[in-house]
Amino acid sequence: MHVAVAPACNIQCHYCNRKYDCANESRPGVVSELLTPDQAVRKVTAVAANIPQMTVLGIAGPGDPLANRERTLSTFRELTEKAPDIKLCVSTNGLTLPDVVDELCEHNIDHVTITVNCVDPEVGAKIYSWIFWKNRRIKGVKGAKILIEQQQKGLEMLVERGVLVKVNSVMIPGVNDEHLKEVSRIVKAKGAFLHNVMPLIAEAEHGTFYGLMGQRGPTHDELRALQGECDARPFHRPAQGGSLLFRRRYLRGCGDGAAEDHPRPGGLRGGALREDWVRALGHAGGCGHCAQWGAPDGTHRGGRGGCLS
Amino acid sequence: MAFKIIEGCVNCWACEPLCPSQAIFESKPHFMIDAKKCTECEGDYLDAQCASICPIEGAVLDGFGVPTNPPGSLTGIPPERLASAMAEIQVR
Repeated sequence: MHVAVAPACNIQCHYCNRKYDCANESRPGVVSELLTPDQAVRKVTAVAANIPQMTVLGIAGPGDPLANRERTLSTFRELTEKAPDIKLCVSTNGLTLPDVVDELCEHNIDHVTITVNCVDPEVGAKIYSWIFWKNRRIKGVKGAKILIEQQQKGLEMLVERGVLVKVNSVMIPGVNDEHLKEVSRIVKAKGAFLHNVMPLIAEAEHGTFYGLMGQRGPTHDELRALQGECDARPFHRPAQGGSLLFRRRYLRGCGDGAAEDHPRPGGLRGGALREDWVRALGHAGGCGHCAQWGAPDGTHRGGRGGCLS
Repeated sequence: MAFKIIEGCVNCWACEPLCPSQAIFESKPHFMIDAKKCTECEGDYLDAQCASICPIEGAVLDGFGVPTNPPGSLTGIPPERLASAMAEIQVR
């Protein structure tokens, strides 16, 4: 399950809208759902007491968990103490990741998910509007360059410390689709155990830059083709051995908790093993840091939310 | 002189921990700035911190009542594009 304890964000992605006016909006992660760390710990321990399958707790938003350093870390700190059997995971845009790695490692962190949409600042400038860095707002290529450097540094630091790193990317046709092959090669070479490519979902109704500017998402075939090229197969799992079955079971542990209602079209059977991994970790196609939690019919997507880890 | 948070604030908490004067506080329907405490970050930072992290255009006013982040400045969405899209959506 996930808990929404992290409302603040330190970057602006073109697929995310921080302001959501829709009166019918009921995404997780909206302000009414925001929990304090104490409330989150109570909720998690209560759920865990009743649902033994609840073994993994994730913090993914609604903003960037590491931009809410104290809220996120105090939730982890308390859970590590009160519920040592629960594994923790966190999703981040990576901007402040290097500063937090050591403290994260003090807790039962199972894996960290970094949303990496590019490794080229020129591409990044088409995806990110600004970042907040060293007490200033930095726009364009300059901001994207810092973000990319921090993400890659954070990835390297986590791998060095033996923490599993999953990378999420949002496929944005004409912006980073070709580029994601390079992203995939690089993050795997550095030791990311899974690279999950998700489709951009952009509608004008979402009020996002991409939605309003008419940026399209990928077709099903385009997405599948790129996912094939980026190959979601885990690369590094040194501490845990590596049978496919094990991986599947392992990955299904995250976010599969009965306390949350992820849409899970399809099911988890048959030969679609790799899809299982992608679904289990990516929750049927999230979009990095904006939500795309999506109801299967496409409603209530594209705002923010927290189901990403 | 003091900055001001107005309607539009989404209560995301981003500004609150950054304020060097602890002038920002949670309130309903949105966060507020204590005008007596706000220093506009003078002497602490080159840029006013609340205005520099706020993701919402128009939500933070400077000491003259001028939006620090005018329409289009943060999202990159041209205001006329936003207006026409919103008009179109409301007709549906």
